[in-house]
Amino acid sequence: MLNYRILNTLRRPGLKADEDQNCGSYLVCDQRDKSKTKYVMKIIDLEDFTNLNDFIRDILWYKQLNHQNLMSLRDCFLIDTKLHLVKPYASFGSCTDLLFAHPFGVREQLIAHIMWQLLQALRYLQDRHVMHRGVSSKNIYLCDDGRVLLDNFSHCISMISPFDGRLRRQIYDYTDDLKDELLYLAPEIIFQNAEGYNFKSDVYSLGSVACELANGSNAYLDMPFGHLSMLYAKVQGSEPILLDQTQLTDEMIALSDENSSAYVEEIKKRRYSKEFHSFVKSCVSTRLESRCTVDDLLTHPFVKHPRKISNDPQLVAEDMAKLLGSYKDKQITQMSTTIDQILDRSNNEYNSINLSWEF
Amino acid sequence: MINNLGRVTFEDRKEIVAIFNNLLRRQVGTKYPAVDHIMQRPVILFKLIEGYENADIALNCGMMLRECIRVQELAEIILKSDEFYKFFDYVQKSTFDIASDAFATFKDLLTKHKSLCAEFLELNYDLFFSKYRDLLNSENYVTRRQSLKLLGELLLDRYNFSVMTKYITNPDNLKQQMNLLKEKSKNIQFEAFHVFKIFVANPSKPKAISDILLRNRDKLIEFLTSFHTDRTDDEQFNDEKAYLIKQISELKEIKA
Repeated sequence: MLNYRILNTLRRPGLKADEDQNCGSYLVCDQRDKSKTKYVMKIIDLEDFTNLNDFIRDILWYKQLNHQNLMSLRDCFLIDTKLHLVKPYASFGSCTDLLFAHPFGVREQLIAHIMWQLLQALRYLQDRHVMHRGVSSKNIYLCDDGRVLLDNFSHCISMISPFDGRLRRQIYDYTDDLKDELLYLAPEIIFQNAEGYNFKSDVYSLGSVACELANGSNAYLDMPFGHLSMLYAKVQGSEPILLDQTQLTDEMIALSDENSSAYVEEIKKRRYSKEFHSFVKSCVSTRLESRCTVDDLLTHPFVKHPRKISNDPQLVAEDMAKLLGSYKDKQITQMSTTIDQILDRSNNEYNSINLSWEF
Repeated sequence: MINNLGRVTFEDRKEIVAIFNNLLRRQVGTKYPAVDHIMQRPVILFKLIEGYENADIALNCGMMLRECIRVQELAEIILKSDEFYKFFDYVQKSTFDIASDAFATFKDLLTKHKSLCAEFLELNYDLFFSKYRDLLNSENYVTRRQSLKLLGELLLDRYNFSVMTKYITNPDNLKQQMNLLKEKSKNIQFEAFHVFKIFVANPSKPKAISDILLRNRDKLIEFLTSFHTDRTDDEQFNDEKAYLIKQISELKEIKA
């Protein structure tokens, strides 16, 4: 435990200082390790939590899963009442941080890249009969080598029944703590009806993340009556859409005021590709029959672009490391401002290299 | 397969766990062939328990063990063996994940088959609780907290009634719980309270117990009055607390 040296304190932009007093995060490096790889050490005071089982279950998931695009847990130990978790450091932060730097949304190519990697992660989980149930922008991290990591396995559930050991086609498990992910939950989970839900619900969450990244904010955020209108909208069958010039209605222009006019201007300018629209549509369809599975999406034209580089996720990550390698050495001092610049550059390079592959 | 578990890759280990667990559940007529097989070769179970010593395979072994424990006959073999006491070391391991997995298995052993377990605790009362006492005094905060909670659950289970009556007549146990009440961790205090209340609520307290309570009467009343006053929404807790204060303050009258 004394092998880690603290380099810096990490603080999420926009979070008040007193909020993370008992869950501090620190940037650390392992003194035994000569490569100076950076890690994030999260310190949680177990004294503040009445139920320890959640943490234990969470940690056991980390230990059971091992994939390129899933967050791994390097170390966990206990000092006094404080649990220390050491995870790889994702220098670009989470997708929430990304949106913080790009309030109007991020570029389509980057979203395609993120989606492709997330699909790999979901594919891996699905092969092991595990549902993630927590796919949301704050649980998706971007590393400086271009790798995308899915984190937070506290909502994971196995499709193998703990009672008879059989594989279930649908599950009916509705725990209270799922409400943390309410904005991203598929309508069939919210319904809690006799039909249950399955892997397709993770696909819905994925679609709403894609939408959120493109639009700059979650479709159901800031609704007039808070969660109630969101639930109503989902139950009514409304689906999140990509906001670009094709979707812009006169009503929206008329309703825009000083605060939102810049956003509307931005929407007027941009136009997302047909593939992206169809990708989101096939993810967030409220009817299960018309929603795609993870396998269907892996062959979808929207994510086909990065697919051309290689079929092997290992190689994709290596290519990405090469693409982004040029600014690996760059020191990041101020998170929120540099994220912006670096990502802009990453998009440009990403585009140009992709073009060269088209030959 | 279990002998070589350490040698295969990460993903293959999980496959082995899946195969093992499915074999256990396989049913031919009314018989479970795999269960019979393991009953004849209990070495398999002990190998699994030993797996906790190897960090690479500890969690896989834990999953298989818990699957075995679901079967009463297999749980019985483990409880009656000396290997069971290895768990007292495993749950105190410094690696958090292995220690908590071992604890989950330990807890399953003690709670899954209630009558079997009650019988076990009665027969091995002395050995078990002298070991358990070390868990409650463990350096490891999580071990302390979880074992205290489990103790409360075990004692309050009506299957373990005779164990409970035996436990609450021992003044050393009371002293330990009263020390735990003073711990600086609020959660440990709270769990200790649930064990402590059994001592006080016992209608026929032996002299040694009531003497301790009597000696600390004023301190206890003062302590309990200011004990976790922020738990206003927990009615049951507050009722129990008031009951304990009443019981303790009435102690003297019985004596006089």
